[in-house]
Amino acid sequence: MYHILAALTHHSSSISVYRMARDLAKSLGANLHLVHVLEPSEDEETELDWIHNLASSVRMDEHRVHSNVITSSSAAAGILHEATRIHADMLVIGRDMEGSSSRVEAVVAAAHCTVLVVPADTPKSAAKPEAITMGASA
Amino acid sequence: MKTIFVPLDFSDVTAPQLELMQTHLPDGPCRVILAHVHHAEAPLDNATSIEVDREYATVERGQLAEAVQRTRSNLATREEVVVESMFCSGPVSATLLSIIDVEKVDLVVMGTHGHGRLFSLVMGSVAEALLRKSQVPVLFVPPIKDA
Repeated sequence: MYHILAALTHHSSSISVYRMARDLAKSLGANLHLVHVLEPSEDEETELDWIHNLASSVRMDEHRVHSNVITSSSAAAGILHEATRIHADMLVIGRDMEGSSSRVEAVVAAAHCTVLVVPADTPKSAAKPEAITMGASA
Repeated sequence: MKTIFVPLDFSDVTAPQLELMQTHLPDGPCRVILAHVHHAEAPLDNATSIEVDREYATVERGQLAEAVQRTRSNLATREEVVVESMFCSGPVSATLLSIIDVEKVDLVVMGTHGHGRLFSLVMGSVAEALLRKSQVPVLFVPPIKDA
Protein backbone atom coordinates (compact mmCIF):
# COMPACT_ATOMS: atom_id res chain seq x y z
CA MET A 1 0.00 0.00 0.00
CA TYR A 2 1.26 3.45 -0.97
CA HIS A 3 1.49 5.98 1.85
CA ILE A 4 1.36 9.73 1.33
CA LEU A 5 2.20 12.06 4.18
CA ALA A 6 0.96 15.66 4.01
CA ALA A 7 2.76 18.02 6.36
CA LEU A 8 0.33 20.75 7.31
CA THR A 9 0.83 24.12 8.91
CA HIS A 10 -1.44 27.06 9.43
CA HIS A 11 0.33 28.90 6.64
CA SER A 12 -0.94 29.81 3.22
CA SER A 13 0.37 26.75 1.39
CA SER A 14 -1.46 24.22 3.53
CA ILE A 15 -4.65 24.27 1.51
CA SER A 16 -2.70 23.49 -1.67
CA VAL A 17 -0.73 20.81 0.17
CA TYR A 18 -3.90 19.26 1.46
CA ARG A 19 -5.69 19.30 -1.91
CA MET A 20 -2.72 17.90 -3.76
CA ALA A 21 -2.09 15.13 -1.25
CA ARG A 22 -5.79 14.24 -1.21
CA ASP A 23 -5.97 14.06 -5.00
CA LEU A 24 -2.82 11.98 -5.19
CA ALA A 25 -4.11 9.59 -2.54
CA LYS A 26 -7.41 9.24 -4.36
CA SER A 27 -5.89 8.58 -7.75
CA LEU A 28 -3.27 6.18 -6.43
CA GLY A 29 -5.56 4.44 -3.96
CA ALA A 30 -3.09 5.38 -1.27
CA ASN A 31 -3.35 5.88 2.44
CA LEU A 32 -3.32 9.57 3.29
CA HIS A 33 -1.59 10.68 6.47
CA LEU A 34 -1.92 14.23 7.75
CA VAL A 35 0.61 15.50 10.22
CA HIS A 36 0.93 18.78 12.02
CA VAL A 37 4.05 19.46 14.04
CA LEU A 38 3.51 21.57 17.11
CA GLU A 39 6.06 23.67 18.85
CA PRO A 40 6.19 22.82 22.55
CA SER A 41 4.45 26.10 23.39
CA GLU A 42 1.36 25.44 21.24
CA ASP A 43 -1.91 24.08 22.52
CA GLU A 44 -2.27 20.48 21.43
CA GLU A 45 -6.03 20.24 21.89
CA THR A 46 -6.75 23.22 19.65
CA GLU A 47 -4.44 21.90 16.97
CA LEU A 48 -5.95 18.43 17.17
CA ASP A 49 -9.39 19.95 16.55
CA TRP A 50 -8.06 21.83 13.56
CA ILE A 51 -6.43 18.84 11.91
CA HIS A 52 -9.38 16.56 12.68
CA ASN A 53 -11.72 19.05 11.04
CA LEU A 54 -9.46 19.10 8.03
CA ALA A 55 -9.27 15.32 7.93
CA SER A 56 -13.05 15.00 8.16
CA SER A 57 -13.44 17.14 5.08
CA VAL A 58 -11.38 14.72 3.00
CA ARG A 59 -13.84 13.06 0.69
CA MET A 60 -12.38 9.61 0.55
CA ASP A 61 -12.65 6.40 2.52
CA GLU A 62 -12.27 7.42 6.11
CA HIS A 63 -10.21 4.42 6.99
CA ARG A 64 -7.60 5.59 4.52
CA VAL A 65 -7.10 8.94 6.24
CA HIS A 66 -4.96 9.15 9.32
CA SER A 67 -4.07 12.28 11.21
CA ASN A 68 -1.49 12.95 13.83
CA VAL A 69 -0.30 15.93 15.81
CA ILE A 70 3.18 15.68 17.22
CA THR A 71 5.26 18.03 19.31
CA SER A 72 8.81 18.81 18.37
CA SER A 73 11.11 21.78 18.71
CA SER A 74 12.10 21.15 15.08
CA ALA A 75 9.36 20.98 12.47
CA ALA A 76 11.69 19.30 9.96
CA ALA A 77 12.75 16.62 12.44
CA GLY A 78 9.14 16.00 13.41
CA ILE A 79 8.00 15.62 9.81
CA LEU A 80 10.90 13.30 8.96
CA HIS A 81 10.24 11.20 12.05
CA GLU A 82 6.61 10.80 11.05
CA ALA A 83 7.58 9.94 7.46
CA THR A 84 9.87 7.21 8.74
CA ARG A 85 7.29 5.94 11.23
CA ILE A 86 4.57 5.44 8.61
CA HIS A 87 7.00 4.31 5.87
CA ALA A 88 5.91 7.17 3.64
CA ASP A 89 6.39 6.74 -0.10
CA MET A 90 5.76 10.42 -0.73
CA LEU A 91 5.83 13.48 1.45
CA VAL A 92 3.91 16.61 0.46
CA ILE A 93 5.07 19.83 2.07
CA GLY A 94 4.34 23.50 1.52
CA ARG A 95 6.76 26.29 0.92
CA ASP A 96 5.38 29.40 2.50
CA MET A 97 6.38 32.91 1.84
CA GLU A 98 7.49 33.64 5.39
CA GLY A 99 10.88 32.02 5.44
CA SER A 100 10.10 28.32 5.52
CA SER A 101 12.74 27.49 2.91
CA SER A 102 15.24 26.22 5.45
CA ARG A 103 12.67 23.85 6.94
CA VAL A 104 11.70 22.54 3.50
CA GLU A 105 15.32 22.22 2.44
CA ALA A 106 16.09 20.22 5.56
CA VAL A 107 13.22 17.86 4.80
CA VAL A 108 14.10 17.44 1.12
CA ALA A 109 17.76 16.89 1.93
CA ALA A 110 17.17 14.21 4.54
CA ALA A 111 14.04 12.46 3.27
CA HIS A 112 14.38 8.94 1.90
CA CYS A 113 11.16 9.20 -0.09
CA THR A 114 10.06 11.52 -2.85
CA VAL A 115 9.09 14.99 -1.64
CA LEU A 116 6.54 17.17 -3.40
CA VAL A 117 7.14 20.83 -2.54
CA VAL A 118 4.10 23.00 -3.10
CA PRO A 119 4.54 26.76 -3.25
CA ALA A 120 2.28 29.12 -1.37
CA ASP A 121 -0.88 29.94 -3.27
CA THR A 122 0.06 31.85 -6.36
CA PRO A 123 -2.33 33.28 -8.91
CA LYS A 124 -1.77 30.12 -10.97
CA SER A 125 -2.26 27.58 -8.19
CA ALA A 126 -5.12 29.55 -6.70
CA ALA A 127 -6.88 29.61 -10.05
CA LYS A 128 -6.25 25.92 -10.76
CA PRO A 129 -6.11 24.15 -7.41
CA GLU A 130 -6.74 20.79 -9.06
CA ALA A 131 -4.07 21.32 -11.71
CA ILE A 132 -1.83 18.48 -10.58
CA THR A 133 -4.30 15.69 -10.24
CA MET A 134 -1.99 12.81 -10.92
CA GLY A 135 -2.92 9.23 -11.48
CA ALA A 136 -1.34 5.93 -12.31
CA SER A 137 -0.73 5.56 -16.00
CA ALA A 138 -3.00 3.35 -17.98
CA MET B 1 -3.08 19.93 -21.27
CA LYS B 2 -0.71 19.54 -18.34
CA THR B 3 2.98 20.11 -18.78
CA ILE B 4 5.48 18.07 -16.81
CA PHE B 5 9.05 19.34 -16.80
CA VAL B 6 11.93 16.94 -16.11
CA PRO B 7 15.40 18.54 -15.94
CA LEU B 8 18.03 15.85 -16.45
CA ASP B 9 21.70 15.81 -15.50
CA PHE B 10 22.36 12.19 -16.55
CA SER B 11 23.54 11.16 -13.10
CA ASP B 12 22.45 8.12 -11.05
CA VAL B 13 19.21 9.88 -10.19
CA THR B 14 18.07 10.20 -13.81
CA ALA B 15 16.64 6.67 -14.01
CA PRO B 16 14.47 6.92 -10.86
CA GLN B 17 13.48 10.42 -11.92
CA LEU B 18 12.16 9.20 -15.29
CA GLU B 19 10.57 6.14 -13.75
CA LEU B 20 8.66 8.21 -11.20
CA MET B 21 7.54 10.69 -13.84
CA GLN B 22 6.14 7.86 -15.95
CA THR B 23 4.43 6.17 -13.02
CA HIS B 24 2.74 9.34 -11.83
CA LEU B 25 1.89 10.84 -15.17
CA PRO B 26 -1.49 12.59 -15.12
CA ASP B 27 -4.38 10.94 -16.93
CA GLY B 28 -5.35 12.46 -20.25
CA PRO B 29 -3.41 14.65 -22.65
CA CYS B 30 -0.06 15.59 -21.30
CA ARG B 31 3.14 17.24 -22.44
CA VAL B 32 6.44 15.99 -21.05
CA ILE B 33 9.54 18.13 -21.51
CA LEU B 34 12.86 16.38 -20.93
CA ALA B 35 15.53 19.05 -20.70
CA HIS B 36 19.21 19.45 -20.13
CA VAL B 37 21.00 22.70 -19.52
CA HIS B 38 24.60 22.66 -20.62
CA HIS B 39 26.87 24.78 -18.50
CA ALA B 40 30.53 25.30 -19.31
CA GLU B 41 32.68 23.90 -16.51
CA ALA B 42 35.58 26.23 -17.20
CA PRO B 43 36.01 29.63 -18.81
CA LEU B 44 35.91 29.29 -22.58
CA ASP B 45 38.93 31.49 -23.09
CA ASN B 46 41.02 29.41 -25.46
CA ALA B 47 40.62 27.00 -28.35
CA THR B 48 41.24 23.92 -26.21
CA SER B 49 38.59 24.71 -23.62
CA ILE B 50 36.12 25.59 -26.35
CA GLU B 51 36.76 22.28 -28.08
CA VAL B 52 36.42 20.31 -24.80
CA ASP B 53 33.20 22.12 -24.01
CA ARG B 54 31.87 21.33 -27.47
CA GLU B 55 32.66 17.65 -26.95
CA TYR B 56 30.86 17.65 -23.59
CA ALA B 57 27.84 19.27 -25.21
CA THR B 58 27.82 16.63 -27.95
CA VAL B 59 27.85 13.84 -25.38
CA GLU B 60 25.05 15.50 -23.43
CA ARG B 61 22.94 15.91 -26.55
CA GLY B 62 23.33 12.20 -27.20
CA GLN B 63 22.31 11.35 -23.63
CA LEU B 64 19.25 13.56 -23.91
CA ALA B 65 18.24 12.00 -27.21
CA GLU B 66 18.62 8.55 -25.69
CA ALA B 67 16.47 9.51 -22.67
CA VAL B 68 13.78 10.91 -24.97
CA GLN B 69 13.78 7.81 -27.14
CA ARG B 70 13.55 5.53 -24.11
CA THR B 71 10.73 7.56 -22.59
CA ARG B 72 8.77 7.63 -25.84
CA SER B 73 9.17 3.89 -26.08
CA ASN B 74 8.01 3.38 -22.49
CA LEU B 75 4.99 5.61 -23.10
CA ALA B 76 4.13 4.17 -26.50
CA THR B 77 0.69 3.11 -25.27
CA ARG B 78 -0.10 6.64 -24.12
CA GLU B 79 -0.83 8.27 -27.46
CA GLU B 80 -2.10 11.40 -25.75
CA VAL B 81 1.30 12.02 -24.17
CA VAL B 82 3.74 14.17 -26.11
CA VAL B 83 7.41 13.87 -25.18
CA GLU B 84 9.60 16.80 -26.15
CA SER B 85 13.27 17.50 -25.62
CA MET B 86 15.00 20.75 -24.87
CA PHE B 87 18.74 21.33 -24.89
CA CYS B 88 19.85 24.72 -23.62
CA SER B 89 23.09 26.42 -22.69
CA GLY B 90 23.52 28.92 -19.92
CA PRO B 91 23.31 29.35 -16.16
CA VAL B 92 21.41 26.27 -15.02
CA SER B 93 19.11 27.61 -12.32
CA ALA B 94 18.06 30.71 -14.20
CA THR B 95 17.49 28.74 -17.38
CA LEU B 96 15.32 26.15 -15.64
CA LEU B 97 13.25 28.81 -13.90
CA SER B 98 12.80 30.56 -17.21
CA ILE B 99 11.60 27.36 -18.90
CA ILE B 100 9.12 26.78 -16.06
CA ASP B 101 7.69 30.21 -16.68
CA VAL B 102 7.75 30.34 -20.47
CA GLU B 103 6.46 26.80 -21.03
CA LYS B 104 3.74 27.19 -18.38
CA VAL B 105 4.91 24.11 -16.54
CA ASP B 106 2.48 22.50 -14.06
CA LEU B 107 4.91 20.18 -12.29
CA VAL B 108 8.68 19.79 -12.12
CA VAL B 109 10.22 16.36 -11.46
CA MET B 110 13.69 17.03 -10.10
CA GLY B 111 16.37 14.60 -8.99
CA THR B 112 18.33 15.00 -5.79
CA HIS B 113 21.76 13.58 -5.25
CA GLY B 114 22.59 13.37 -1.64
CA HIS B 115 21.58 13.86 1.89
CA GLY B 116 22.57 16.11 4.72
CA ARG B 117 25.40 18.42 3.91
CA LEU B 118 25.77 16.82 0.48
CA PHE B 119 22.48 18.42 -0.43
CA SER B 120 23.98 21.85 -0.67
CA LEU B 121 27.39 20.69 -1.83
CA VAL B 122 26.37 18.34 -4.63
CA MET B 123 22.85 19.31 -5.53
CA GLY B 124 23.58 22.84 -4.57
CA SER B 125 22.36 25.90 -6.23
CA VAL B 126 20.11 24.31 -8.86
CA ALA B 127 17.80 22.38 -6.54
CA GLU B 128 17.90 25.12 -3.96
CA ALA B 129 16.93 27.69 -6.55
CA LEU B 130 13.99 25.59 -7.71
CA LEU B 131 12.96 24.87 -4.16
CA ARG B 132 13.01 28.54 -3.22
CA LYS B 133 11.82 30.21 -6.40
CA SER B 134 9.63 27.86 -8.40
CA GLN B 135 6.05 29.05 -8.57
CA VAL B 136 4.83 25.54 -9.40
CA PRO B 137 5.09 22.29 -7.39
CA VAL B 138 8.41 20.48 -7.53
CA LEU B 139 8.68 16.73 -6.94
CA PHE B 140 12.13 15.92 -5.58
CA VAL B 141 13.24 12.37 -6.33
CA PRO B 142 16.02 10.82 -4.25
CA PRO B 143 18.54 8.42 -5.80
CA ILE B 144 17.97 4.70 -5.50
CA LYS B 145 19.06 3.45 -2.11
CA ASP B 146 22.00 1.06 -1.99
CA ALA B 147 20.98 -2.49 -1.30
